[in-house]
Amino acid sequence: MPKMFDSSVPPFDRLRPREREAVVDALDIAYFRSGDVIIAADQKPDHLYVIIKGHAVERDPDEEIVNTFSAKDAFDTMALIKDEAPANRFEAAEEVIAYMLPRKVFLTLVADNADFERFYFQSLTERLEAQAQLASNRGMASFMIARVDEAYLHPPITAPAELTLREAARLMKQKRATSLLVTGFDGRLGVLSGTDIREAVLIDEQPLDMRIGDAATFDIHTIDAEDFLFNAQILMTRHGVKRLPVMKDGRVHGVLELIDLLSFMSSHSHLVTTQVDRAQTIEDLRRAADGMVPLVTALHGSGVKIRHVTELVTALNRKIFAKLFEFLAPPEIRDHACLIVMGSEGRGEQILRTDQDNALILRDGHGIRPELIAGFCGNFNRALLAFDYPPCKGNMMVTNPEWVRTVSEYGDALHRWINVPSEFGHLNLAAFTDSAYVAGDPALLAQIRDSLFRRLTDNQAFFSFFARPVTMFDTPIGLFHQLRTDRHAQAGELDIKKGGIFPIVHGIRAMALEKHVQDTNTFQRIEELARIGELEREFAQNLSDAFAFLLDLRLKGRLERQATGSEDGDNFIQTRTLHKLQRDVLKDSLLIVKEFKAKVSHRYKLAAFS
Amino acid sequence: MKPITTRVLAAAAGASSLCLPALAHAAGALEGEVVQRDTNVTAIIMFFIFVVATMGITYWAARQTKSAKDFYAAGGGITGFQNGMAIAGDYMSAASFLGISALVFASGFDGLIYSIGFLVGWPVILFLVAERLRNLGKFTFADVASFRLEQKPIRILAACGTLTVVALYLIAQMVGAGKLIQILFGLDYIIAVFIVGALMITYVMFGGMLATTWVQIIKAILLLSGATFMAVMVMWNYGFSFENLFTAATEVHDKGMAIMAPGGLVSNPVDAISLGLALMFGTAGLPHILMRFFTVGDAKEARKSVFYATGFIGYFYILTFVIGFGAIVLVLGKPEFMTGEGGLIGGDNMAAIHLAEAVGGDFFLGFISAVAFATILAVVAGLTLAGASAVSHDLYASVFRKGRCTEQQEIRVSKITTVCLGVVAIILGIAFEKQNIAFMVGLAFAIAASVNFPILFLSMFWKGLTTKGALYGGFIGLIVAVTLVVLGPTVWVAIFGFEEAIYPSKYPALWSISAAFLATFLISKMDQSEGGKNEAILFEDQYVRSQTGIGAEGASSH
Repeated sequence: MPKMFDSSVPPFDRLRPREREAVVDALDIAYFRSGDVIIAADQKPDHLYVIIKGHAVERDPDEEIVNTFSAKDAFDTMALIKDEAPANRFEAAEEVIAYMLPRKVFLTLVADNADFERFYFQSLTERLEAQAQLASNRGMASFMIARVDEAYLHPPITAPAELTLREAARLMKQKRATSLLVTGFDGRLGVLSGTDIREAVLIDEQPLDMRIGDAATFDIHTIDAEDFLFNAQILMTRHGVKRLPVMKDGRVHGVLELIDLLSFMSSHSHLVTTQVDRAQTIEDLRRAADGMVPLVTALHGSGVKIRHVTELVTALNRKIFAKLFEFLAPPEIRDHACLIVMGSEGRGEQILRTDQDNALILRDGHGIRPELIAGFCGNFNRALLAFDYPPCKGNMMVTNPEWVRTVSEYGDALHRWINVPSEFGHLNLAAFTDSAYVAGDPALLAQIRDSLFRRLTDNQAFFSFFARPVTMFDTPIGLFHQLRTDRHAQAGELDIKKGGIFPIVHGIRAMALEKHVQDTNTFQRIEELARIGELEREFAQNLSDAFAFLLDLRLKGRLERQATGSEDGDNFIQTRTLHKLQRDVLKDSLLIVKEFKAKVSHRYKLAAFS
Repeated sequence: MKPITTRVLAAAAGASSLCLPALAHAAGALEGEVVQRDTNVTAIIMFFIFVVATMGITYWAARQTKSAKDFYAAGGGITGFQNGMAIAGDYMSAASFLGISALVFASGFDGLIYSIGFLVGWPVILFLVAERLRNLGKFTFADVASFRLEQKPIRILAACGTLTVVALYLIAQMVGAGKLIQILFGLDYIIAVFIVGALMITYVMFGGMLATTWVQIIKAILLLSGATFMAVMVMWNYGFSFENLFTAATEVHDKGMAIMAPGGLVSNPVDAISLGLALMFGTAGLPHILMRFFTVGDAKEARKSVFYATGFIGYFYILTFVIGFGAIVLVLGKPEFMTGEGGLIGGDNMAAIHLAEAVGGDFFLGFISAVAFATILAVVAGLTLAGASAVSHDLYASVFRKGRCTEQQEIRVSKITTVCLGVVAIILGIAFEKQNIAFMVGLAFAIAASVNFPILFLSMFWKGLTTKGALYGGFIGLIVAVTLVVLGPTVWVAIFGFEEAIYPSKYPALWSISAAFLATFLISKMDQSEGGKNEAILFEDQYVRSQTGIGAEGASSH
């Protein structure tokens, strides 16, 4: 009987202690020489094999390798669960030492432990979620996964509305509280903070015997104890409050203070937001922007869904840009121009700080002196550079006169991009399709987007042309569902942008443009396309999941690279470093990409043009 | 090389004389005569090497564009020159190469009428429709017509027209490929057709990875080089003097001096006009050709590509002319190419193939066969795609399911259609064995000119066109064309085996085009419905957009 059984290997980490014991009792260890058959095809296996050391392969009847297994991988679970002989043969590719878990024990586990069973019967969505769960179990739990009641909550100190300010201050001192909960004259719940007292007395010169019912804030937000801390943080950020009463079973359970939330957090998200909000100078803003990379790293490390990370980052980036616009733009520009972001920034899929893709739309007949505009654009660009937002490689920036135009000039440009298609035109069009408002007059952007949609109504030929890049790159998955990695410059790596992210983004973009979907974010576009019936619900869900997973992998790769300081191959991921579950999900995701490409190709008749 | 015995399905009568294969009386079905024929191992090896190489080059070329570094590199489309090549490739189908050289071989000078007709179709497309289609952003006839007309009836009509055209066109390719395989491998014709059909289905179903454009470009280059070599070899034999060549030809050919005079193939003006109209206007109605205007970036490149294509196609037809005469002098009467009855082995359609052997030996025979075969596969792929799309999109999705079906279902229907088309092509390919394949393509053009072209043309140029008019007019064109073909010598005599054709001419286009235009006009005029009036109003929108590309929201909101 083996003494050491690593029960942290999924799915054995789901076992209860008693079950773990049963497993350890029943386990045996087997040794296979290289080339030995572990499970023959067409033979019902009696054991589940979990590799301790070595490397095994699964071969189909044509002798093709369809799967490989290394340490901690288990096989052949499907054969055991379905109680049938596998069609494929499992053999040792090198010396293999493996645990053997008797079939009976394994099936008992499957029957008794729902968590364990689910591991084998998951849809892609479930698998992904299981993986997120996994990441958080690895001791990286943070405020994002944490519930509100896991943070330190101040005991609620309730005071009647009739109390005077002076009495309230005494009570707070005595209880060492920074706030009181006030039951209003009408029974409503309010909050009285030190700030409220200070403002009432020192600024509004109210008497010290003013009743707290008149000084407290009653229009308050509360949060449920079961809710995510993440949401509490968003609530605080959005409403600029420093504390939230926490509700449990309909009663006030405690008070969550910002300071405690902050100390709980492993990230600086709130700091960044407040820093941006409070920035008085460009220098303040720059300091705030510096907090972004650690923030993303922390959020991602906490297993927060990639979608939420990007949402947060996007909101922050836009905030920074808007604030900067406010600092730098002269009043004429503020009134007669609209600052937009384009490309991934516009789609809100920026994860780390990437290129600045921005443009300025001017009102027709704005009458602003050209030097003034040029001056602002130059300053804006320089400031962003100083913030470490790298310049756009395609020069899609306000410093490029191509991207500072009036509404009607943009109209002409759109006409050219559509009717004289070129690499450049489609690139611009794609970027512009994804543009989002940052600051200035939003009507200017709306006007142009509207005319873009109108122009393209019913123009199938354009869409066939526009969608063509979707099928430009092969999906890196082979006939036998094996991952295909680069053979040349990036050997062993897989270009996840060309292979998966780009086809989804661009295909969905083309469909969104065709169907006049206003959203710019790919997830939202998918949802909207599903809502109007252009994508089947289930497929839309799978596509979203696959897209999120691919983004997640890419971010992981980038963060690793940033840690090692290498700049190259931003879109490449090492397939070797993925563990089995990740590899499986990657395969599933790429298969969905493949299916999506087939749909797009059919929809826009791309086969006839290739 | 060991001699084997082959059964060749030869016609009992007709094959002995060198009359047009189209007129051959394929009366008895299987009274095969036994012909001694060597299995040409060298040629077969070369054939395989070249087929694989052609596919390989195509795959490689397509990958070169696919592995482009930049995401929007396809944005500009291919260049006008490349597209010109691709269009030429589409045109240089087996029908043109094998069929026209066979016509010249059989009838001499008059064989050129097809070449000229095909060529003249180009400016018609260019001036009348190409630019407008681009501006409208539509690439199928159905899409253009349903811009302001009612979707459902128009799509039904379009699907019927397209399927008929595709079927006829497929027959031509099928016969060409079947014959090729038959004489190269010494197989039974029926077996050869089955093999070819199966290959075609496989190719279309799994050939998604092969870029059609590149197949056409590569094939155009190979075919042009091959044909040039043949023509040069023929001329070299006659000291590069046409006079010597023609003199020699008139001496060998049964018809003597008549092959240098018009009237050998098309003897009366009605036939000539009929054929000419079909070839000229049919091009604009061909489903897979219209698409070619959209592979380039803009209208300027589209015009350029037509310019280049016209050049290549013109040059190619001159070559086929020389090849046809070359076959007369170098193949005709040579015992190794003739059956006992005095006909060509494999029929007249194989004249160019035999000439390849005569001028370049087994090596070159293998090359030309391989190129012709690859050509056929490529054209079939384009056609089948068009046919499958007509059924899956126009019939199934738009009409049958009223737009309520998933892409998945549409793709499945399209795959099923592909298989059905393949099966139909095999059956018809066997039935039409004796037909000249250029003539079959001519029929496809006639249908296209009678159904698709009138509606396409009127919907863009005539405000008064209504849905009813288009629907009835189009169907009348289709019915008249098909009926005349069936009652004519091609089917009534050659396939059904009757003594005399009810409709004496082989060329229906003059009557069917006129009928279609007339019916469309009259019925549209009589149509006083509300819908008809609205359609007239929508014409203005469409007109502006077709002229400028700026538009006016879609007339129909679909």
